[in-house]
Amino acid sequence: MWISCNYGSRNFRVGAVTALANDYGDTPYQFSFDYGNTCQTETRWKDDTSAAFMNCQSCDGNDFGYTAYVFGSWDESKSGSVCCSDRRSIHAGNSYLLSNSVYQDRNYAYFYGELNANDAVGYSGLWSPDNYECYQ
Amino acid sequence: MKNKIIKRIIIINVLLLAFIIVGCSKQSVTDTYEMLSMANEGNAIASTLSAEVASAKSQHVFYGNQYSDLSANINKIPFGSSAVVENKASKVKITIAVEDILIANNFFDIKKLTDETSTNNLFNYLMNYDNENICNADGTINPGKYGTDRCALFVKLKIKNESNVESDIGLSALKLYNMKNENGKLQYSQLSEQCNGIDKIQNYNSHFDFYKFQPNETQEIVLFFPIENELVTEYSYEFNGNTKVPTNVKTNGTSMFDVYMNTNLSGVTPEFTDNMNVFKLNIENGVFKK
Repeated sequence: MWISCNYGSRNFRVGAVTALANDYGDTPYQFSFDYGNTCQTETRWKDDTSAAFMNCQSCDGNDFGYTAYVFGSWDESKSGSVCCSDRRSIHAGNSYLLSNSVYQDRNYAYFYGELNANDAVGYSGLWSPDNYECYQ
Repeated sequence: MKNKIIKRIIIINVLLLAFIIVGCSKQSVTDTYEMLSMANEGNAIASTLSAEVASAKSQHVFYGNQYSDLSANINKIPFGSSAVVENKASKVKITIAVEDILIANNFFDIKKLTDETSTNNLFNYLMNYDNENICNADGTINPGKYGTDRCALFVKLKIKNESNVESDIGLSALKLYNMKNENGKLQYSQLSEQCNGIDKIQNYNSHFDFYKFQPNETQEIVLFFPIENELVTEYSYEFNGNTKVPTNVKTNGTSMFDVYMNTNLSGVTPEFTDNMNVFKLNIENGVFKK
């Protein structure tokens, strides 16, 4: 189920709940998928149990979407990484909140993405390890 | 006699049931870690932490600020020099030069690098829109994730948009690192997370992410990073209810050993790539020397 919500001065669609997404400032990301590779954001410290936020703003080719997971690690270099969320298919022009257990299980969060097709496509947008309204 | 046999059978069954329940409970921690391990291989999972696991993890010691080998062949840019940085996805090129550095105990010292309006805009954003609780009303900096004292590190940049179109530049992706040579190998350790704000903040009523440059526009911009005063070498945490509380935090000297700023505007790993321009900030052993 998708509903609209107000995100700062902009409107985004966020899954299932109304949420003012974004907490400690969002971080830009650019995933460049190229026939089978996977992409990962850098890590950010996870301060609470709220859902991670991903706002996929643009796609430079066919929008097959990519499957995203939230991973957790002990430190910035991603040691002890584990998957801490369900998967979610991400498409350009939408925002998503992914429930995860990074705060309970690890220290740092990052997004991991796999393209939903064997192709070369780039995606860019913003992400945050948490969200303003602490949607879980 | 028959009743006695029935009673014994009931007692034995109750005992067996008790053993089974205890056995399952002991296994739950291992099961949780196995689930996490499976998830690491790509399976989707949303694990719930049991009190037992939280208790076990509170005894775990973590090591902060670890150095990793830097395999990429980077270009170190001396303080004061400029270099072109390309956003590999958007192909937008900007020229960056580090103009000045300030290490301070109070946010309002940023006035030494920028104007009153910009100072107030960034402070308003930090106090009213960013809920990381970095500053107090008097400008003092609050402790961070380790619970240790922090200072404000301001980096003043001169940035030019080299393209002929309006461009959004993700300045919040810029991060600081310590670097050192160890046995002939260059190593790095992350000093800061993403930049926590800029003085020329735009749209701060929503949040801070991109900075919009006009075609060929040049701006002087001050980045704000809250930094731990001391290098955290070990730490652990305990759960107080659902909240993590740092414990057993050990520090060793200054956190700012030899500081550099990378230019990974894409925000994805690897953090350093071949030919990436990395700016030396001239901060060694906690002291900035121009």
